[in-house]
Amino acid sequence: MSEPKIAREVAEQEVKDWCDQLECILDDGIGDRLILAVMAGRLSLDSDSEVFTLKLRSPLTLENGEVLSDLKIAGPTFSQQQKATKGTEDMNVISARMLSAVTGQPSGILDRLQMKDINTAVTLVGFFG
Amino acid sequence: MGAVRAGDIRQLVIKGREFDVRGGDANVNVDTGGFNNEASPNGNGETHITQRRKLAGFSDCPISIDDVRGDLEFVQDISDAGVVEPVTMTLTSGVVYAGALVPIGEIMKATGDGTLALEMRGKRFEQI
Repeated sequence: MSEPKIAREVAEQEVKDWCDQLECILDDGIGDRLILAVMAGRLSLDSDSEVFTLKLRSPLTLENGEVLSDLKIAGPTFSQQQKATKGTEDMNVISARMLSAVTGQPSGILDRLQMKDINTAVTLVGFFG
Repeated sequence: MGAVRAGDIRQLVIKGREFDVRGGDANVNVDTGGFNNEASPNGNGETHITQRRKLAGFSDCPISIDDVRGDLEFVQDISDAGVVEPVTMTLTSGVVYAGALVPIGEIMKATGDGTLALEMRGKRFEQI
């Protein structure tokens, strides 16, 4: 494992500060995933807009040659949540719809991302729940 | 080798809003732009080719209109503004087309089936 860019203690405090700002409670296992991403220098929060930027562990090269290297994750609106849960109770489907809504990325692009990046992104959506 | 090559539109997002595209017998025309050719014979049998540029985009896309959400008004507003907006279209195969397009033609909802037959055009609509 490469040397982390941010010390664990600093990363833990960062995530705790986000929880305070966004008024949320994270389970330990979920928080650990985010702490590791912060330690690796891949996760940050714009405090003003409350939008997370997640640098992908595995950037995606698109068909047109462009590279998708990060995801911007904003808090979902009630309308987006309603649409994500419409007509289904399958959590995979709901997560996929919600992720597409909050990142602005089409579902076909998200399909191609590695699960490690998807899992971290889905965890971030939980901040706004 | 099996591969999905036809079917429904899985997702259509216009200016950040996701629209429901009717399934079933919907047959959307996707155009990546480029050039159209017309050909006619010269007297000597050679081919006289007229080539004209065509815009990229899509047509005959049946959008299921949600009146409560103001879908029709949303598209009309984009048309009124007369500027291209970001559009992504995910096909059932997972292929994604993206570009900046503007609505073309009449923006009308048919109350019988609740759909808007949408056409949008722009400089580029490419696979990403």
